[in-house]
Amino acid sequence: MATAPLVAQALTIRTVADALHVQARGFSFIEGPVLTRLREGRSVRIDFEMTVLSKPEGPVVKQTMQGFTLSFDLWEERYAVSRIGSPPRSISHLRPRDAETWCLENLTLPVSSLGLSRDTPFWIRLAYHVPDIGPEASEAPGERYTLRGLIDRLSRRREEADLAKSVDAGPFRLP
Amino acid sequence: MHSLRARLILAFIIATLMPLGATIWITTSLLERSLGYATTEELNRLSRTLEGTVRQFYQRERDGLKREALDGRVAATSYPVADMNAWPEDVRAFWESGEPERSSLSGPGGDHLDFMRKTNAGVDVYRRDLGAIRMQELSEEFRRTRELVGSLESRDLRRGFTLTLLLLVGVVWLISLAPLLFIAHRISSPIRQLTAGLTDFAAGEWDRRLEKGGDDEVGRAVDAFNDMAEQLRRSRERLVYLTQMSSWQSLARKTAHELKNSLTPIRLTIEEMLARQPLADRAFMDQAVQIVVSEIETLERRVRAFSEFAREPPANPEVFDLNVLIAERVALLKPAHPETAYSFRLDVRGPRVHAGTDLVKGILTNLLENAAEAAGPGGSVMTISHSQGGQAVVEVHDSGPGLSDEARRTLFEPTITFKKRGMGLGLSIARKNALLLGGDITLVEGALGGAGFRVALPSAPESAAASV
Repeated sequence: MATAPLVAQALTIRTVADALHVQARGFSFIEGPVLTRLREGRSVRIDFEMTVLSKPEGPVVKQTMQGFTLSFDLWEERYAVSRIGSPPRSISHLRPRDAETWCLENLTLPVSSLGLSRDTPFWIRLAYHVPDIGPEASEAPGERYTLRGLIDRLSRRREEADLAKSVDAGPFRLP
Repeated sequence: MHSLRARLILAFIIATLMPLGATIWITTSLLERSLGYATTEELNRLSRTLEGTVRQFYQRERDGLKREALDGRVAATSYPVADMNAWPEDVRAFWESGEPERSSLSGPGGDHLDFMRKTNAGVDVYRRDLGAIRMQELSEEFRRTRELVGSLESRDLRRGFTLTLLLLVGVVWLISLAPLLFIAHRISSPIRQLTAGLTDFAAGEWDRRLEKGGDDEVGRAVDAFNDMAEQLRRSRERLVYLTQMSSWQSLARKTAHELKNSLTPIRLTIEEMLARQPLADRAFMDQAVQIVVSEIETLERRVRAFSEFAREPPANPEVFDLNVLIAERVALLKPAHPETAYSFRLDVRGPRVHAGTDLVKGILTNLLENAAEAAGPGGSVMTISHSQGGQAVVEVHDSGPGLSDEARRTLFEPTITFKKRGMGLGLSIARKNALLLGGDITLVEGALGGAGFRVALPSAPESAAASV
């Protein structure tokens, strides 16, 4: 395991074999509405996006996306995470920080695909998006134009349906 | 808002908005009361209490199992590393994790509690029956409850119901407005048409008529308008005709007077000239004087005709049987036109007329004379009588060549003709007299192929007719 030079920023990178990993201090996502929803026994899907940029706010060099499903064991008070996609991976009995770390560990980019030399600086943008964090729609698709569907739509309180956060850091250099 | 349609719509809006508002107010009040009985808060509190209790139960059982396992008071199921390929999935996951020990639920619905502990040989698993308490099912039920509570808390049902009610009522109200617009248009359209017709008529469009709409009040108003317009048009035509006739009469009176003043001295002078003529030239003079006197007599005849035309005959109205008068006139005319065939289609009830007999006789004589002359020898004349719309009607038809368009256009205008008999004033005089009697003469489709005239005369009142 090789560790990339640390930069005094929120994000740090490391490479394991050909995989570029990112670590984020203070980049917590099991909090707020996500935490509330998990503690109510409901699962939450979180989509991560890691983007390598050649300049701050500059052109995209490479981008990867990965989705995870988080759940909470009410009785053990531990978290479980499942990686969406192929091959699926799961882990359970995690503390919140461990669950967050596991998600980031499973978000990688192949170093060889970046086409960057060791001296070339690059920047990383790490973002996550929680779709449909608001209350679940009680209406079935066919009920959209029924009386029940109409009442449901008109009674819904305005809430932020989606939750998203991102952090940019750099410059980094490959080890 | 001055049009009838706008007023109808406004009336509908005012008439429906008040009960609509009252209905909405009552419904929302009832809704408010019924939503006051909602138990979301209770459900929320109960589910949280239950969750805490179950968690305490679970943790107590978990800690108890762990103590018993560590004290060796409960038997373990061992999974040696050598048989790792046969391990259950959860045991394998535990082994791969960095944890030294783990508790998890197992069994159907999670009714068993497992305590797993890593040993040098592999994994020991201790199990406890939770006594039919299915923890995973409880977990799922709690999730559903929280979801329900979350869903209810995320919604303002009072607002949702109220807005839905307002929306649906509004839509229904608007939909009901559409047929009203149609009906308002249907109702106001003939009235607008009637108003436009009256305006046009007042502006001088005497031929303006309206299409009959229906049998309702508006339809009857349209009929009344059309009848009134027709009567006004006829009255106006009669008035114009009588005015023209009055001018022509005045002119004829003056002309006749002047001619008469000149003709008398001319005749006397000619006769004097003849008397003083020597006998030798008498033959030529006799002939010349005869010619001049003949022409003077012709002029005098025309002067008499002018005088007759200018005369305002007394009406002297009386009630008489029209059929009798027709028969009398035809009998009088037959000797003058013996080769003309006469036929009758008379109303057997004998239409009673209230008019001046002499004037009606003059009218009939004129029409029958004209018809007989038009029919010629071997021709036929038919006379019809009947009652129609409060009037006694007599029609005279002939089998003659009919009338040209030019003749139809100027038929009743007084003219000077060179016919052997008559001056071309007969029809003018006849129509003037008919108008003076309160009737009229009109041209109709000839029943015998020639011309046809209809004379409408005022019918006698019932009481007067009965006394005749």
